[in-house]
Amino acid sequence: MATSLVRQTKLLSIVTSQLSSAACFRNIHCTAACLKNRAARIRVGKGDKSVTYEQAYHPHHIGHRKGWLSQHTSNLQGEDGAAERVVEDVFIRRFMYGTFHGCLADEIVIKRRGNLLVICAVMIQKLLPSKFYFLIGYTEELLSHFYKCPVKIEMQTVEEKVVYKYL
Amino acid sequence: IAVPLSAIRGAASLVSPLTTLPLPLPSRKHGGLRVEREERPRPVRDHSRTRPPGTAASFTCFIRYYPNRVADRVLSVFCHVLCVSQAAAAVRHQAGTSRSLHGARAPAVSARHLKQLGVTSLRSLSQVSLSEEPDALYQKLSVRVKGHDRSVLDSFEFFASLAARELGLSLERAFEPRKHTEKLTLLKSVHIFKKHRVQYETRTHHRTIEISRVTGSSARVYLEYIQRNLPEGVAMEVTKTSVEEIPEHIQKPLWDEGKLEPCGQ
Repeated sequence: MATSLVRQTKLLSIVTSQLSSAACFRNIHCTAACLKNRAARIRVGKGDKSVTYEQAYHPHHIGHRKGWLSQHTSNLQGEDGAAERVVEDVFIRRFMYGTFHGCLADEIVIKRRGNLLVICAVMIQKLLPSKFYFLIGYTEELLSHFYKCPVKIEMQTVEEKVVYKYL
Repeated sequence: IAVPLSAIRGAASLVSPLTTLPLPLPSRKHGGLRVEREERPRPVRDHSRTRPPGTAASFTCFIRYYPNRVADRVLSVFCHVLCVSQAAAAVRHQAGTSRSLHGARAPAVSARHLKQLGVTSLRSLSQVSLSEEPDALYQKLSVRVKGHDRSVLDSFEFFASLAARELGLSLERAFEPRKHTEKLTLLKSVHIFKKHRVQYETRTHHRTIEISRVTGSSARVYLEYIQRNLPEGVAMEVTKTSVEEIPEHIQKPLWDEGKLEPCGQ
């Protein structure tokens, strides 16, 4: 990734030099950036905001105090397919958030065991159990048709959202 | 000083609190107290076992450890092992050896015994296929697992070594190669501030289990069992070193048969 970034910057620097020489003074943003101080963190406030365990700990605590939300092998050394897994994960999270609207107590955990896709979710007891069963079946059926792989949902319900602390 | 540090640490001190001792300054990091952190105890790799592998006793022990993971296929594998050992014992008995092997090596696995463990159907031995061609022989079977979490690899190593021991395979060594870290250096801010960057890293831990002197069918069975129970987020690489027969044309040296022509003439 670093070598491709370097190549991109070289190309773009050539392009910018040509552009600037042709009296066109637009600047192109060519290196990757990330806002490390603010990513995936809920900032400390007055003390009225309730926050779950997952939201309370910052990304640098992953592996130490937090687990992984999406477990697959494509980020390991010598393995590929990371981008496809990320796109699938984003779609699955949005799909679950929309299907079980207002029922999700915490982030969804996505596990991949071979071909099998397991979605683990903790829900608030907002709907009747029969409605939950219907939505689970609906989700499993649709997602297995989208991704051509068996999809299983492991769900656990909780009375209220589990609050870790107030920020 | 309100309370001396030695009292906080719980050490019996004969020194009165009025005398000043050259104690080290408490570190701010742990809130003013020096906390001695113990290392997380690593699992002891004890590969010596008293129970003989490949018997019904070891099989019941294995089922008790992993009741959810015992599939029918494993059962038929174990029955194959047991029945093969039983058949081997029967053959040896018939051949006329004086030692009685029935009681110790190959006890019969009764249906009642299996029902006690919750296994209702017993696949027949028709799953075992016999063929004329000789089985492949592997000098070494090297299973290398990679993952992001070291404790997951620890537990998988325990599981794989236990499975190898119970199946009667000779586990040569189980070690941990060096972890690999991939680092990325990116800009911290969206706009300008080129001097301020942020670094991310991805760690890949490895674990290798080496099994020596294995037949092809045993290796296939063991690998299938291991791979079916691979945890999520763990990748596996298998390297097999097979033992082949020397080809016919180089089995004997040429100078023995007198085929070489004398040189330098």
